Amino acid sequence: MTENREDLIRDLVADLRPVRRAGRIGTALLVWLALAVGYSVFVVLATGPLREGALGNLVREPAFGVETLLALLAIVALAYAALRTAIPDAARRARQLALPVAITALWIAVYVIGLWYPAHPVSTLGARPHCIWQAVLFSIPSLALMLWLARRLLPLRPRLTGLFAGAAAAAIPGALMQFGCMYEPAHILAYHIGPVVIVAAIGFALGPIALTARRTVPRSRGIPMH
Amino acid sequence: MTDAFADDERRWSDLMAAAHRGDSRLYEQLLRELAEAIERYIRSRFGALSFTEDCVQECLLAIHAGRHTYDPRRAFRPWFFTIVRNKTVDLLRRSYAGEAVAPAVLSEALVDTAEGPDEQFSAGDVLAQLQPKFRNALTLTKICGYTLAEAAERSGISESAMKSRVSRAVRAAELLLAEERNLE
Repeated sequence: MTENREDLIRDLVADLRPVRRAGRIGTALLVWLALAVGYSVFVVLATGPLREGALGNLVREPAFGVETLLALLAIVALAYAALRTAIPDAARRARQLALPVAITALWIAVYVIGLWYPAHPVSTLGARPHCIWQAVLFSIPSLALMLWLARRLLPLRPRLTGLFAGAAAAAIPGALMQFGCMYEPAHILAYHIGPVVIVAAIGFALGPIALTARRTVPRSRGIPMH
Repeated sequence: MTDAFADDERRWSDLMAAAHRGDSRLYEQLLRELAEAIERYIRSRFGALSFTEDCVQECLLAIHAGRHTYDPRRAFRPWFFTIVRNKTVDLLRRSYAGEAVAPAVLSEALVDTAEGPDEQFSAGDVLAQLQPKFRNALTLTKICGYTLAEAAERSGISESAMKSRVSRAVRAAELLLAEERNLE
């Protein structure tokens, strides 16, 4: 064993503190959901009214309720995937990704089907100017929060974690636009779901910068990673 | 899983659980055992990588920084080897990307022969499974420690072609390592 390695092990042992196990990510997920959804609801309401009758249609139009439920599931699944990919565990990787991707695909699919069979009366009622850019901008704090939470874990595939984090963050304002903007499936796909793709790409690009900066090469002495 | 694997699995999991509680003595034992396991892992797959020691230390740092992400109710080896695989590929990539790595461990005289470098050193499992041109590219740049320009000159190709070849070789190695998951 080299002298450097001996020194490193000694330093790491000296740095040892009891830790709370983060193998279960439920708490981080709940914290993120509460803060990100709460914040997003606040900014969507603060920047424009809800579409008239939108909440009532949740009950009156079951298919609209299903769309909204799928949106909620997609948000939770994408956020879970973002945190899960920040925990090293190869055996579960395929399953980690399959479920959130499937749920998100299903969420998008209902709007594609909606192009022919809309779940809700189609109209321009409640149209919100610049809804696409609002959805992108509104999602940035949620993305930052998710990256911060993921950074506290051990994200070994930062691009993938960033991609899921971005998608989860943008899915919240995207889903809220169900109520805060007009209902028209083509518009929803382009202007409400589109931001999910845009912010996922931002997360993909930011991941390596935001999630890997703290660790440095070990040739130097000491504990450089915090 | 063989008996040795099962023993390691149980012991490492217990040692990490003790580390979670702050037991320094058992943590030191764990880090020493893991360091040896990492070194064996790299040597068995890549032979004498010029930055094996860096890789071992980087893995130890990652394990230390992310020890709270290990859940003792789950298997230790998949968690551990995911880190090792990732850091190994990371370092393979980074050294290619121009970041400084440890000096080459082999002298000029050793490799300056008519034979390809991969014929002179006992390649690891992963290197052995690569296409000869990829094996040659990795051996020259990651084991012998040549620069891209030097490796390109020795292989009789342009520097940009060597750069692309090394990049594809690292990707191929990454895929081969990923295929090993089921053996953990």
